[in-house]
Amino acid sequence: MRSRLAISMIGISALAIQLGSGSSSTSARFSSSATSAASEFTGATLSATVAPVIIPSLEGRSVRLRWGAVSSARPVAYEVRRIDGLGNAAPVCVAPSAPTVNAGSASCLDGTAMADSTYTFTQRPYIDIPGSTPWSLAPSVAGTSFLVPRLGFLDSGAAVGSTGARIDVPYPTVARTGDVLLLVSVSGRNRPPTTPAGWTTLVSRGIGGSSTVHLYVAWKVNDGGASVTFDPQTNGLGASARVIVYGRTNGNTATPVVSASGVIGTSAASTTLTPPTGPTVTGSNSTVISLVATGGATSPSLSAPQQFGLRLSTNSTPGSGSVSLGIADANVAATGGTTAPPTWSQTSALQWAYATLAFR
Amino acid sequence: MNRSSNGKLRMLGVNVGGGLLALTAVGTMAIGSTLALFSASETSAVNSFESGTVTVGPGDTASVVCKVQGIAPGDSSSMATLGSKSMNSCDYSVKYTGTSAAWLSVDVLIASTGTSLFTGDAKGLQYFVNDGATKIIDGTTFETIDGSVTAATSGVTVEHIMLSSSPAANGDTVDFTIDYLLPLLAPNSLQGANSSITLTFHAVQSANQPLGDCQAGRQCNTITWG
Repeated sequence: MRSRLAISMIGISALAIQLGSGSSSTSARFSSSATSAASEFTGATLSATVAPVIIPSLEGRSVRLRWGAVSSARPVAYEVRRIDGLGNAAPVCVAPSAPTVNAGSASCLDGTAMADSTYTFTQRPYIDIPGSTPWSLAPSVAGTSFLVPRLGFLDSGAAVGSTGARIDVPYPTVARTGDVLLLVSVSGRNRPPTTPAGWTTLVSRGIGGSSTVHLYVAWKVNDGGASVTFDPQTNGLGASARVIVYGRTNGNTATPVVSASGVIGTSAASTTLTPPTGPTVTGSNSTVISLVATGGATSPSLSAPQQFGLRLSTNSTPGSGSVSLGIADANVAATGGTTAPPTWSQTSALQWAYATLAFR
Repeated sequence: MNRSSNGKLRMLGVNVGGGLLALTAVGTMAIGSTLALFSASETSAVNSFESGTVTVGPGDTASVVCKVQGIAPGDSSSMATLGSKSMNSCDYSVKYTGTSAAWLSVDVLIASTGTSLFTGDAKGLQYFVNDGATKIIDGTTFETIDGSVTAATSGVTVEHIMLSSSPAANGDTVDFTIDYLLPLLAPNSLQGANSSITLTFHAVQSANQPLGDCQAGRQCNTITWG
C-alpha cells in the first residue's frame, strides 16, 4: 500500500513540474492582429524583348529606316545610330526627325546619310521619361550594309494628255538643279515624238496593230526650268506625258550621267513580261530604271520585283484610246554589274514596249 | 467515578438512544417523508469574473489595395515627396474593437518574386507608410527602439513599429497610408521587377505591460505582442 502511494505521489509531482514548465510561458497576453492584402507593384517592360533590326531603303534624297515598333505602357522612343564603314557611330533620326510609329512600324528619315557611303544602322528602344535613367532594350543587331545611291526617285510628275501637236509638261516642284529629269510619253499612235530642245532621246519604240502604243523617253539634267513642251506626234488616240525626277541624294554633287546603254524592245502579247537582263552599268552605284508601256488600260504591276521597287503604275485615256505605264527602279553597286530584271504583269494580254535604263 | 457512572449512563444512553434512533428511522421509513426538520441556509451574492477582450476589425473606411502594373521611373503616388504624384495612394484602415486597453503596433513586410523593385537604396522603389503623423516606413528606412535609422530589407519583416505611446481604447481607428515613388534614377535592371507590401496590425493588452522605452514610430520589441 505504501509503495503504491509513493509512486502516485511521484506521478503527481511530475505532473506538477510539467504544468510548472508550461506556465513559464504564461506570459502570453491577450492580443489580436489583422493583416492587410498585399499592395503590388510591377515595373514597366518593353515588348518585344529584343530590339527589331532596321531595314533601310532610299526615299527621295534620304534614307528611310524602318523597324518593328516596340510597345510599352509608357511612350517609347528610339535611339538610332548609323555606323559607317570605319565603325564610327553617329546618332541619326533626332528631333525634329525623330522616329514615328504607324501601324506597328517605326520609321524615320536619315537626312544626313551621304551618297556613295555604306552604312549599317542600329536602334535602341527606351521608355521615354525625361530626366530618367532610360529603361531600354539592348540595341538591335546591325542589319545588312546599305549603300546610299547617288540618285533617288523623287516624283513621277503630273500626267498631261493631248490629242494635239503640243504638250506642255510641268516639272515636279521637288526638282532641283542637277537632278535627272525623264520625259516619258506614251502615245496611242505608233509614231516617234519630236525631241524637245535640250533633251536627249533615250527610247522611242512603238508597236502597231491591235496593241498599238509608242513609248518615248528623253532625259536631261535639270537646269532650273519649270516645264518642257514637245510634239508627241499623236492623233485622236492621244498621248500621255509626264516628267519624272530622280534627285541627287545628300552629298552627291556630281552631274548625273547615263551609265549604260539601255535595253529597249517590244514583246509578244502576254499578261507578263520579263525584260532581258541588263543593262551592264559602266559606273558604280548606278540607278537602273525599268519602264513598260502598253496600248490599253492594263495596270502594270511587279509580280516578281527582284531588287526593283515599283514607282509608278498608271492607266490613262488621253484621247479615244487608253495607255498604261509602269516604272520601277533598283540600284547596282558595282561597275560592270547588273541586276536581275523584274517580271511585270498586266491585266490583259497585250504587247509590251519596254526599256531598261541606267544613270548615276 | 463520575467517569464510571458517566460511562454507564453513556452506555445506557447509547443503548437507549440507539434504540430510539432505530425506532425513529424505522418509523420514518414506515410513515414516509412527512417529517421535515427545521433548517435555514444563506447564499452569498455571485462573484463573477469576465475577461476583457483584445480584438481588431476593419476600419470605418474602405481599404485601398494597390495593384500597380507598369510603374516607371518618376512615377509616384499623390502624397509622395517627389515624382509625378499622379497615382493613387494605398490605404489600410483598421479599428481596435477590444474592451481592454491595448498597445498597437504594425509589422511591415516588403517582398518580391524575382527581381525586387525595392532595392533598399535611393534608386529603388520607395515606400512611405504612415499612420497620420507617425512614420512607419520612410522611403527605405525605419527607426529601431533607440531611434536608429535602419534600412528595411525586402523579404524581412519590419516588426512592431509602435503606433502610439497611449493605449488604444475600443473604437479607436488606424488609417495607414502607403505612398510610393520610383525615382528617376531607377536603373534599367528594374524593368519588369516587382515588389509587394503587406501590413500586419497588432493589438495587445496594455495592462501589466509597461511601455518602457517604446515610442510611437519606432520599433518596440520590449513588450510581449502576443
